[in-house]
Amino acid sequence: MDLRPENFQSVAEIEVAKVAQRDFVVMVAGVFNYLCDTAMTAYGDGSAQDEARAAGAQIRTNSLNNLAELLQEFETNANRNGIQVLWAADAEEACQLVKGLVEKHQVKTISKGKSMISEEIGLNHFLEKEAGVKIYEGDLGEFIVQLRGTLPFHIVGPAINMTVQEIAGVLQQHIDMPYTEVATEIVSYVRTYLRDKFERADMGITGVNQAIASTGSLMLVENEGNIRWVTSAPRVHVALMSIEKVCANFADAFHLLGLLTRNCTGQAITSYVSVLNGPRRAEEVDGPEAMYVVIIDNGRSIAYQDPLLKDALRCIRCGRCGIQCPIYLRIGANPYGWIYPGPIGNVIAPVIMDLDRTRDLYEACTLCGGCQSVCPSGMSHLDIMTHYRQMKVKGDDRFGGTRICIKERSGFKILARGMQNPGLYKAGVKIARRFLNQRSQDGYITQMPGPMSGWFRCRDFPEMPEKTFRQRWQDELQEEARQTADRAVAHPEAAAQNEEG
Amino acid sequence: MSSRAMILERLNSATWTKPSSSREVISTPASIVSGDVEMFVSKATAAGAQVEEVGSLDEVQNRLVQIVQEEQLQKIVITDEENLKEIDWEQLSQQTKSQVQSIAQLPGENYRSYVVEAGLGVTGCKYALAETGTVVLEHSHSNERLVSHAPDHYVCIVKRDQILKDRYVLASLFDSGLSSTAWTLVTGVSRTADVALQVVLGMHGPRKVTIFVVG
Amino acid sequence: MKPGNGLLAKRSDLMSKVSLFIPCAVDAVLVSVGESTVRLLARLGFDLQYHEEQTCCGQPVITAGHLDLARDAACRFISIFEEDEVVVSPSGSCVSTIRHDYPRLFEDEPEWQRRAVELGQRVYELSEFLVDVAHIEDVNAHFSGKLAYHKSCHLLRALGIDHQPQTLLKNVHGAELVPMQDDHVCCGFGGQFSIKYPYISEAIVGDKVKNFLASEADLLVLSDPGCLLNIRGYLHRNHPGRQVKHLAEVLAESV
Repeated sequence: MDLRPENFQSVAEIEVAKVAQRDFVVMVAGVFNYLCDTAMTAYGDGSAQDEARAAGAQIRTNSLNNLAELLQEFETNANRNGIQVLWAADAEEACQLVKGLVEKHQVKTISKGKSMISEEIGLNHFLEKEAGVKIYEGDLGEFIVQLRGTLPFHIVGPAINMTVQEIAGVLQQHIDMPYTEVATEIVSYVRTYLRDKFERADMGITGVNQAIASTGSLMLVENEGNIRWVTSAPRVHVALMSIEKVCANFADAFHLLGLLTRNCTGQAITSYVSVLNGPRRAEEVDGPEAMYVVIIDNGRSIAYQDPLLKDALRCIRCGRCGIQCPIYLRIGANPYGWIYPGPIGNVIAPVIMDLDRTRDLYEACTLCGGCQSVCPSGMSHLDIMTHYRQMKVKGDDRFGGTRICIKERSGFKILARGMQNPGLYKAGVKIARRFLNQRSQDGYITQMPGPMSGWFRCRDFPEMPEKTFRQRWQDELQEEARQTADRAVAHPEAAAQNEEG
Repeated sequence: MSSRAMILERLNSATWTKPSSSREVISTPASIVSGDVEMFVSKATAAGAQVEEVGSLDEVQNRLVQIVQEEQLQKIVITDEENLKEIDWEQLSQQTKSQVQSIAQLPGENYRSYVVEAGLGVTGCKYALAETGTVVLEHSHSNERLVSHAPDHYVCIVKRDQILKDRYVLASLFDSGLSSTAWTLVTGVSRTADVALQVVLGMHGPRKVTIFVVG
Repeated sequence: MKPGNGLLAKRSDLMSKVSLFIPCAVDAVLVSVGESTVRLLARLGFDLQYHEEQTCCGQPVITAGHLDLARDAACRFISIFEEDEVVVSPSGSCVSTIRHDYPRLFEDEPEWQRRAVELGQRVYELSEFLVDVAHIEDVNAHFSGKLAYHKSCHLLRALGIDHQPQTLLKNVHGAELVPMQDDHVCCGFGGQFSIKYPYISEAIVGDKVKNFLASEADLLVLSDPGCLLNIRGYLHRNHPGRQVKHLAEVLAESV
């Protein structure tokens, strides 16, 4: 399968047919939604939870409103702490910068903490090919996905769709694990295998959950302990962050942390939260000698200039929207063709890739709003997705959207004209009725060729009654309604008793 | 133009009007700073730590002897923190026939090779959080990062008065300045659910965490 | 509670006039939903009005991104209804279009935006109108059996309407409202989505129906024509005999 957003339709059709995976994922989502809902009660009742989310949204608003200032403040304070800050305009530059650091520090092996931005820029592939280094993902799920060479299934649970048997098979094949289906034995084997890599790695690479501007600190969140290794043992630590991952201070960072973990795994806090303020000092042994932060744009600053699209940068990557999304839960990650599946991908991919390639992402959506109803950072997914649709209709140079063709627009033009002209509207209904009803059997149409055929894949359509509501109103309903209402108003008791009798 | 300049230029030239920053900080009243010990114990226990309330460091020492004997531990690594110095490590070492090394006695290379072989790491902490059962470690040459992470069994000694109410209190302490190179908030045991959603404790960090609440 | 009594006691005279906004899908296909809405409101003593020049609110055009095409139609819609004190519609989705989408169509036309916002405040979904505006919680309807309720997306999340339809259903004489797994999850309709991505739509509506069958309810009730067409069409194809109805159809059946 060629996993690219352009192939959404064909890949989705294959994935949706995997009924067992679908049912499993829907079940898992149910469990996680329950855990997250329960964790959110720490804030209090429903309205207290709304307040907590609103505060999270406000923090993100503040960060975005002051983004340039906060990034510079962070840079100044990080420099003061001995952290070197590098800036990358795009994926290519970010990869080259890291390659430069690999060469500068004569790095042979790299251990990694789970980082979405590193996947966004394709760092592993680049470094292995261009710098000849060996890279080990430290997060178990990410490690399995790395060995298997597939897209992560979910931003938090990359291998959550895999069965124990599949996982055991991958580990047996790639790292010689004696086959076992016992989870504790699998974990134990990988623990020992990766422990050795952690101890020997020359460079550790991580993402960043929040960069704290006022102190120049990094906050990293995890459960497994790989990030602690990766930031403690190697000589060099490189942290990658996209431009929006900055907040003013720890009060903000810790509030977001609570929302992040509660909406991610349903935990009040994860096993480990690392706060890193710089490389180790002369008398210290653990911690890197040199520490770098690479601030990566990759298309975001252009989105930032748009008053509506800037909100796509609110996301704190909890992944809660994914487990709300009826589409993602049925088709999984593959059709999205990129590392951010589900509603996050729908919102972010179009500005990082382009509007044409990602069209199915923002169109394959029922606009049900499940995603934004739980979002702790105040994202309006639907506004953003419908905005992309509007941009695509008009064409948009900034984000590579060519204007849709006239043929595609003609249907909507006809509809719009019907809306403005009751005569046309009535004529349209008449034509549709004749067209549909000629295929009707026992009151339902069961199939139809042409553009409407999709509807009839799994469902029928009722035939259209000979009289529209409007005609029925004119013919009898209006008069009937008047009489009934008069009776009800004149004799409420009688009407009620009559009806009861 | 450098990428830095270009990115900042784009951010600064956004056409939408940025409201003057109004900030709603989630604050905790200054009066409620210290945390409830019972809550700390129950939250830390729920996160997978074994928590014991003890009267004194002497008791901690006795319990450590039992732990070392029960688990037949050979090598123990301890940090160079003040509240650990009241424990008689030499006596413990003799009683249990185990090797106890303080990071103060281990020069660079030796420390690293010792810490990854140690079966037990013992540290104090700077704070603890009742809200989540978290211990807050301030790392430095006297509390190296891997002492609390590399050994299979990690013991943390918490004094009652170190327990804060919640993360917001910690945030205000951090916001008023933090000088150390690294801090870690440890809550329970390292874990993963990546194998078919089964929660397994002891992924890359300690498999076992024991917390002594003293005082 | 006796319907007439409670209603007349709490309702101002102004409120007794109700203008009907009958969405195009109801006008042309689901006529019985419109008819039931009329019968129900008339039985409760409301003086009904129906502007015969109304057509469609333009939701399909707006969600597909053709805002330019939708603006004129929206102006027309506003002009038709803005003199009415109260507008009621048996569609959460269409009400949400008027209330939330219309004002956004006129970002650059403040006068039209003001008119859109003002109208949006007086357009109500049926159950919202009955419970929140007219304070009627029991319409003296009757159904023998168990009911399950599907929380249509726009009704629940765009308009925040949840307890209103359920209250009305709980008070249906002879009926028991039973819980249904994932009652708040989308049914997979999504307008054009159901035609453009039929295989995904099928998987979603399939799960919805599975949950309905597992609830052991005799009837599934909802308050949106889109979901109704989708689920009814799926049931007819795959589970003939199992029924889904619009809230208005259930409430119109009197004791």
